[in-house]
Amino acid sequence: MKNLPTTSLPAGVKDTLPEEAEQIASACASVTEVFKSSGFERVSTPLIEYLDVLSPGLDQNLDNTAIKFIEYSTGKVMAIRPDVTPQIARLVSTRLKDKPLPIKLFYIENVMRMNRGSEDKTVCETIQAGTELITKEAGPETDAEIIITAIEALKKTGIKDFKVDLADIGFIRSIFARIEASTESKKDIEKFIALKDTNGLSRAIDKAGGVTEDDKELLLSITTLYGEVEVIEAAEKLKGTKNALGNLKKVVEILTEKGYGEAITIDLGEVRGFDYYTGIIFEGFAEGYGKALLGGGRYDGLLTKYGMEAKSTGFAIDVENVVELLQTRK
Amino acid sequence: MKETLTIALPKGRIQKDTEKIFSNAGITIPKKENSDDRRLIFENKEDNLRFMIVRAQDVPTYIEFGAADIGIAGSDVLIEQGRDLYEPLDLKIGKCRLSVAEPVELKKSDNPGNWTHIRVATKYPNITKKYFSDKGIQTELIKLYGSIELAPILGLSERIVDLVETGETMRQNGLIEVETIMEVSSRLIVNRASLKTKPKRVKSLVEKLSKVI
Repeated sequence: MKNLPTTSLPAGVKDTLPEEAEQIASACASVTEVFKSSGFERVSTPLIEYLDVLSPGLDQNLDNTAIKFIEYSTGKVMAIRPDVTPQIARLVSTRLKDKPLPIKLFYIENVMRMNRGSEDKTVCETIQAGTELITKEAGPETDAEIIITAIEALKKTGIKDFKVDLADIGFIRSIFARIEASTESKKDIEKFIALKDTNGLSRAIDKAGGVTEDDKELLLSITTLYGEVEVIEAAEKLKGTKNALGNLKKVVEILTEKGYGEAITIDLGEVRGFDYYTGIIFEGFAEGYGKALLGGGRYDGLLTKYGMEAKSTGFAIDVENVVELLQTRK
Repeated sequence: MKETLTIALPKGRIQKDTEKIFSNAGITIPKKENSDDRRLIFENKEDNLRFMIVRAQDVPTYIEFGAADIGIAGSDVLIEQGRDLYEPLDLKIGKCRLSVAEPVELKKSDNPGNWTHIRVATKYPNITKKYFSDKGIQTELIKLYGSIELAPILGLSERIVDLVETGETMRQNGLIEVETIMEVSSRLIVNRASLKTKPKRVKSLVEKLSKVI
């Protein structure tokens, strides 16, 4: 080993050489084309912000993964953005607050997170191409609009065999609202729903108490209510689902009518971002590729936290995952 | 044509029990043809399944990254590694417990209620750290990859956190359990994308296996 000045990179970040850089640029160009033709306008936000400003708009899990440091001159805590959505919320509620709704914005930005996982906690830098749709009222039409934008964007990059998996956080929240148990017990129940662990869930429900027999049966069924759109009908046969699936059904109806029925799957037991999202959530997956290609959903409380009365929904595509998948499909 | 499902099974301790569950469910795991057979992947063409046998600790990694769709892993390994997966089925095999143990001699004069700072040798640093820090006890962790019972004998640490099945290994090495951290059993685990993109196949396999547990 020669005694040269060190040239190593921190774990979790990387260079991109010409061929791949070109593929990333091309994927970004494809999604940009779709976003623009769907009426979204591009904005750009800074890499760092005060943590106080980002936090209200972050999923708690993401807040914990943000890379934080102190601003030398003021002693305030700053963070490298782990997500762009809070920045858009800040931007809309300040600089664009007089613009008539709907406001439709998109971005292509790098974000940084501390990797979850055990042994080697490293940073992880990714490129997100996302949209935010800010409207006066929320409804299945806006949900469907954002999901269609996501499907079209993925299609345009050249990926063919993907599915966008839908769930409605509002549905499970409506069941949770009926449960008389401590927050901790509810967290426990949520954890086992997330794992689709029926045995563990059954134990957690018994331990929590305050769950009716009908609701217990419903919650236990939720762990297997995934697959094609028929699972919604199966769910409706269970007690306690009345009206709670109306929104999701309507969204699926609109998507099917517009010819996107083949591109969607349903998972009523998906509780990812339970405390963050308020309605429809969705993620994009391709067969044989282990990671999600995109993720998003409705977060109606978001802009309120920044002092603006409006509803919002959005998603972000993980551009590098898309490129990695395209490379394997060549 | 049904899509192929790739299943990662752990080498070692629970291999026989795993084979039994699958065969009871009417699924054949193809066997090695002879002792020179070094293949790592075995195909069951009839059910369109692909089996691979890997190190137990590696199974969750294969599943999380989607190199295999479905796997079997101990709840100890799953909690220690904290991976992003589904765990739809407790297979109720490979049962044991994760315990804190110390030398019999030390136990005589020891009161866990007085611990504030202890040194612990373990294969499970994350679980150990969380278990003790939840009780307000600081730990100095020594990560070992095997023969944990040696640590107190040789003075590497006073205490250990390790799996206990019958307690025989502990007893023969002059150790005694002081606290149980968790009960352990093997779980069926599923990659998120596999469940979303092959829901019918995943669901039918989970159902078949759940009927014979």
